[in-house]
Amino acid sequence: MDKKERKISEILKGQKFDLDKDALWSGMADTLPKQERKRRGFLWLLLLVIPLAYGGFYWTNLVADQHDNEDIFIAEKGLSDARIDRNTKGIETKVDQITEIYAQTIGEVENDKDLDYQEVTSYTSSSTQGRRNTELPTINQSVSEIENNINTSVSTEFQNINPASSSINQNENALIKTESDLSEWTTRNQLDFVTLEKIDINLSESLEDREPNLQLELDAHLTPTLCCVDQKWSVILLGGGLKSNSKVTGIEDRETGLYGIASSVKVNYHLEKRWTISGGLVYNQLNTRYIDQGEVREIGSQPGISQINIDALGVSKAVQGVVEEVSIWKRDINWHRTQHSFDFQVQLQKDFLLSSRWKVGVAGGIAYNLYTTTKGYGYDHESSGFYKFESDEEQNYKMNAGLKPVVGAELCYGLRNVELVLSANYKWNLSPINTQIENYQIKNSQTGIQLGTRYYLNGN
Amino acid sequence: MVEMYSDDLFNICCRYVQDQSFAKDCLQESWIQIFWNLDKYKEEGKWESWIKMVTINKCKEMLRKEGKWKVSAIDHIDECLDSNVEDLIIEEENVNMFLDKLPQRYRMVVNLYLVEGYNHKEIAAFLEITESSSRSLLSRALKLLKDAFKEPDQSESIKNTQVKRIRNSIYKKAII
Repeated sequence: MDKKERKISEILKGQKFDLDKDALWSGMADTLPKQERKRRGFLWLLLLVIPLAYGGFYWTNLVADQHDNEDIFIAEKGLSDARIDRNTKGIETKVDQITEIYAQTIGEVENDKDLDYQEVTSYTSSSTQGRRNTELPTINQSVSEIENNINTSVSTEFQNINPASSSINQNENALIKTESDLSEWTTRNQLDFVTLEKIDINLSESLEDREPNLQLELDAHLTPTLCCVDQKWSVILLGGGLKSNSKVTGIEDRETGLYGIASSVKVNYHLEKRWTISGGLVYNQLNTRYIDQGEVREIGSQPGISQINIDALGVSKAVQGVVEEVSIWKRDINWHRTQHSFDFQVQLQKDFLLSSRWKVGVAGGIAYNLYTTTKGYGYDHESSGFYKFESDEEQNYKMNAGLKPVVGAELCYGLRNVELVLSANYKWNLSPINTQIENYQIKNSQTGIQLGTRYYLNGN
Repeated sequence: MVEMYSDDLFNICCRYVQDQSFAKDCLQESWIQIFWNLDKYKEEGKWESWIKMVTINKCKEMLRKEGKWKVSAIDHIDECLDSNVEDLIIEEENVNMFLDKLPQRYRMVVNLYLVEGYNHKEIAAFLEITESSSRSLLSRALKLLKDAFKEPDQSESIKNTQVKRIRNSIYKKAII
């Protein structure tokens, strides 16, 4: 470009023309009224939906807590009533049975004793006197033979009497056994928790080999995004919504994941060539519910009288041993657990355009877990009741799990200033979060799927 | 946004089309097109560049619609210019006068080259012509420019001479 061209270029670039902007805008406004209304309406809708979602979530949580309290009361009352009824009815029945057996046994013993004694006495006296009167000369000869016969007869008769005697002993033994049963029944209440503890220990041992199940989250995110004029900075005010958590790693397989919630406040900085760096706080809340209802059969053992031995003289003797205890009762447990965690997350994202509307992004970064805790209700076997608990470092898992690498991908469909976003992410703890083998284990990695919208205030 | 960018865009419109009333129409239509095609902005270039490009395209499109987008034969371009445009001083008024007399396509090429800084390839793509045609158009237009205007130094001296003559005549009248 020579001097002449440069001079003309400067003149052309420096030209200014007056413009009536009001007239220009009034002419344009007629063509774009609906679009403006839609934009503002959508923004207000977003701003309304978010507090509604949060409000609804906490309201349902509140209702769930109240329900839990009712459940606790019902469960405690149900357990107590069931035990009182069971013990009272059992004892009454046993006392009736013992009384009846005792009465029968006493009657039979007395009858048998009288009858047998009379028979033996009359038989012995009549046979001896008759032989003396009618067969006197031969008595001396056959005294020894007769005595032998008598002895034999007596011996035989005694042998006949023995069964009756053993039946008396058996009845007495049954009475002793019944009394021991009664004492066992009266101590049953104290023995129940002993057997429960044994069962739970076995359960814990079996859980040691159990791998935590997949933790899958489904998010419905609403992520309004503010962009400043230079298109470099944007702020995600709030990403939140309902989350379904299918993590099932509790005491039993019946511990199921419920709804949860995830929120984030992030700042995005849009670099050139569709690179974006973002950072901010992410809050996750996961809920699980454990429902255990049904008949429980407990098998345990206790020291006690297990059998009665009878010696050669017919004397019964109780032998100390181990008695197997079986009890059946109804259990109704309903508890609720909530896990809260805060992460600080930084990640880099690269977007690729598939077309004017479709876009794919891949991201990678790192999250630092600031705090994790679990609150909820537990069941105390000794007191047979529920208690509120909040996990600490020693009991369940670390409250700070440290660094968590994050990878993710998203698919976006652009509609003017709004983007529909389907994204998935996976993050895992570099150090295990569980501190010891517990019935309740948290999976060390987390997979998330989010579906949501992204709104750009100042143009996409 | 309209408040912020409208002045610059209106200057562009005025450079590419001849009368300001038509330039306003072009600007208005440009804004409407920008609003309805926000999703097509790919963030790869600057926002300002994108809206400027939309505006220039809208000017070209509206000139075509109005039938003002006619290709003059290069051989007859001299006929379009008055004989007295030679040796003009490089001033805004003279430049505008000269550009007004240029056919639309030449005017467009001069603007794209001198103001926007486009090269032959970009000008060819924009005007939907071959690159060789773009070269011919531009070289012809620049030759006309060079022929029409004096060198800036000469322009200054001519201007100074004219001022001296006027001053002398006023001085003489005052003495008489």
